Amino acid sequence: MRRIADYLVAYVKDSAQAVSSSWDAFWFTPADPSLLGVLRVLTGLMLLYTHAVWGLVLPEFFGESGWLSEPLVRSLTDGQYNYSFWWLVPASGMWAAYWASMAILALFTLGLWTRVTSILAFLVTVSYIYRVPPATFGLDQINAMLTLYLAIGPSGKVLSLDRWLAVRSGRTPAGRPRPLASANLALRLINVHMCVVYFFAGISKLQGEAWWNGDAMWRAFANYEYQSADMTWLAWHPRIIELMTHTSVLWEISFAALVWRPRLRPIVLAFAVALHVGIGACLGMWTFGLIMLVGCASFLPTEAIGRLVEALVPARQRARTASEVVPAIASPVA
Amino acid sequence: MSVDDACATDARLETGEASGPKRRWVRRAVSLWLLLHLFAIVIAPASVAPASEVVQGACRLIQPYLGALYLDHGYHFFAPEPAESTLLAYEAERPDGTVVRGRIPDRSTHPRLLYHRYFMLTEHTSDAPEEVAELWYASYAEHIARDQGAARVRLIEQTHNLSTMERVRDGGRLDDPEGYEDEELGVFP
Repeated sequence: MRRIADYLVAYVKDSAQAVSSSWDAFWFTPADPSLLGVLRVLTGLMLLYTHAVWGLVLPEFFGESGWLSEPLVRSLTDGQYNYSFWWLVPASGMWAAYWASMAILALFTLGLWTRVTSILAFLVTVSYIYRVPPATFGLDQINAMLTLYLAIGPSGKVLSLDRWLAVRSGRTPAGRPRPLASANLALRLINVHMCVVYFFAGISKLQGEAWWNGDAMWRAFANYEYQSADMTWLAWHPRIIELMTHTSVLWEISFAALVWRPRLRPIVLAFAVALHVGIGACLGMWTFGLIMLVGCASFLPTEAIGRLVEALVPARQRARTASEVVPAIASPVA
Repeated sequence: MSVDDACATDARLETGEASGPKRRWVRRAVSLWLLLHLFAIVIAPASVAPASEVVQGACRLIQPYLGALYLDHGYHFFAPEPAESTLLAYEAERPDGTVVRGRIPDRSTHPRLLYHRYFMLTEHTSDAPEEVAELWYASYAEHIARDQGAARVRLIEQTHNLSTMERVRDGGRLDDPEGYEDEELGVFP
């Protein structure tokens, strides 16, 4: 009996140690922050575009007599721990608040004072969303999610004015930035969150008959309000519709399991490109498709992206500082 | 001490930049937060109906965190299945008796993202909670009235049913008038 108890204790202890070291390796292995910098620029550009479009109709959505009155939005979001700086902005300050928001998003995209502007960019993004919840959709969810993780990680370490200024003043050596655990942490958070998004997008479809009988993609193409490319010719090719329907669900559900396998990752990501470009071209949701692809880009190899970003540095600067280049950089997605 | 200090290389530890015990505590604290965060981002989509009372209760428990970070999402894109659209037609009557008719969203709206904003305004009314439905319609009507200089606005919810493949093969079009079903929402104010 005692031997069994000893065995069980040893088993639990070994398992706990194995889980603990795998956990540490997964979350805390230092990684090249270059990919995070690329994601910051891409997300920042999408945020700028998203908010520039709000600027076209600002009084209609954020003004006093907008579509969504304050009592309505307060009722819809009651008790949901929401916040928005828009509730504090008087009507006369609407445009000032808007341009201040755009300035913050521009600084975040350029990577100036990124530690602060990344947090402010997140607050700006969420404030706009929480002022007009019924006008939002998946794009806004992914915009905010990416901005949150970019604020957590050192997204301004590369491809940023922060870095340019630091190198120029001699505070930071030029060349490849040193690997950082916080960069890995942020990339892993994006990785895992994308898996959660696709997994639930996939399994929630299993409740619908159309995803089982193969009709679902037709129902998407036949929606006149979404339609941006005429796909009605597929009515004469129902087997293609069925194949597309089943492939989409299978891909979404399996994404979380397969994207971690290095050999399968390029195939999984190629499907992501096909799916989201398809959504953009056929259903007119280019912004949503593109921001999902930005999220998927977090699975790209950090080593290769680091080399690519380094190649963007002017040759003169690289030659001067070649000896300072950091040699070993871990990949967060092994 | 930052996460990077906590995960510093041995060389940095030797220089005293990051001390051992402190380093462990930072990692443990970050790990605890990670567990909470992972729980939150999984429980939020899992709590979308139909969900068990256990899952819904767990989600309510962590709602402040989800709400503050805007993480409370189901990610049920086109689920359970792609559905018909909900549109909003209106008739705005001006004081001089003229009537302006329109429908939201208007497919001629550009850029496309703006079109989607209007589309979402009408799509979300289809799942409006009963207790705020009237407030919702009144808010839209008030905006239309101001925009059109109207004294009264009549709102009609239009459901645009999806055409079947058979119908399209028989010569039907996605925007055929018979595909729309109207439901009167009322006259405002």
